[in-house]
Amino acid sequence: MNLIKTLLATTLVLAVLGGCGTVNTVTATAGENPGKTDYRTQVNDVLTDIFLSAKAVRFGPTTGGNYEVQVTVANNGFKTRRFSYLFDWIDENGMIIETSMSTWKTASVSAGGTIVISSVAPNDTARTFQLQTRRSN
Amino acid sequence: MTLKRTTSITLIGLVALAAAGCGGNAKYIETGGNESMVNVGEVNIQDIQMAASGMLESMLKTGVLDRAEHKPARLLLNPIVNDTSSQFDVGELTYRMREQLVNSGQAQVITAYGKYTEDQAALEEMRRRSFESGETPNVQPDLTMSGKITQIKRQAGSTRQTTYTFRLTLTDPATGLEVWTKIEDVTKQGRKDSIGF
Repeated sequence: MNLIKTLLATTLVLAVLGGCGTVNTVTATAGENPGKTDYRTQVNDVLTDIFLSAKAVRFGPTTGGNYEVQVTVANNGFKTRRFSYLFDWIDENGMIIETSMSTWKTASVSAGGTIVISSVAPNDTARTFQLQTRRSN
Repeated sequence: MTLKRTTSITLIGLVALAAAGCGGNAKYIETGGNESMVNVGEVNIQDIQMAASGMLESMLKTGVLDRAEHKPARLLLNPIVNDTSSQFDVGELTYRMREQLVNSGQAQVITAYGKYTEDQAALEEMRRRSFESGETPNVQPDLTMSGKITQIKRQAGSTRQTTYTFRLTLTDPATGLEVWTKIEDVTKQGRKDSIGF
């Protein structure tokens, strides 16, 4: 019994320690019409997914013609969560578009609240993005 | 010592090793990545990257460059003023933006233009060619860029907080009117500098 407790405690500690360096990924492609779209998530850090999760993904063209994506991120935890995120845009060949616009940014969301993070595509043909999130606390 | 106790100690040791990692030795990290240093009282590379990214997104979103007379739009850059106590080259900001705008064909930066000349050789060559041909080259800018980086520092007890504000403006030199402006704030708070964010 003691061994089981120790194993559980160790697993929990490892999850907490490992979680802060692990990213979860959201991927989506703009649909035919602007608005909400389906998205795929890859969860590598379960704790981050519990506290921070993507609730909606919306696409729309900007005045400049490039697509913009907005992702609603919800905090289901009991304290304010800080996290960093990185948007990468992907071209029609599945290649990530190298741009100085793709950089890690930071945000925080209150307990029980939501925040909208957004990104503008680097060109007028990119319609697929990949979002990586990583909790900071 | 029982087997259970030995197992427990081994596991705790493994956890301690995992937590300690291999820190301390010099290593390469991703520029601006999550392992970067965070200094409350200094501008870090990730702050500049975030500001450049936000500026570029705003430019593309508003389509201000698409409305210029020339395609790609011709930009003339004023020196950006660094009004913070943190010493860094503001070219770290502007060159990151130029890389995206120029290499993607959305803008051209005029690097040989009067007192704003960055490339003296190009200016001299332009003058020589102009003298030989008798024609004045058309390098009039569609837009001029100006900007400033400022800071607000505050302290509460041992906790320090600094907000760095990056502001850029595009002006139409034909009218002297501002056609685009953007502010990007970066705020950092903490008792001491740290690694990772």
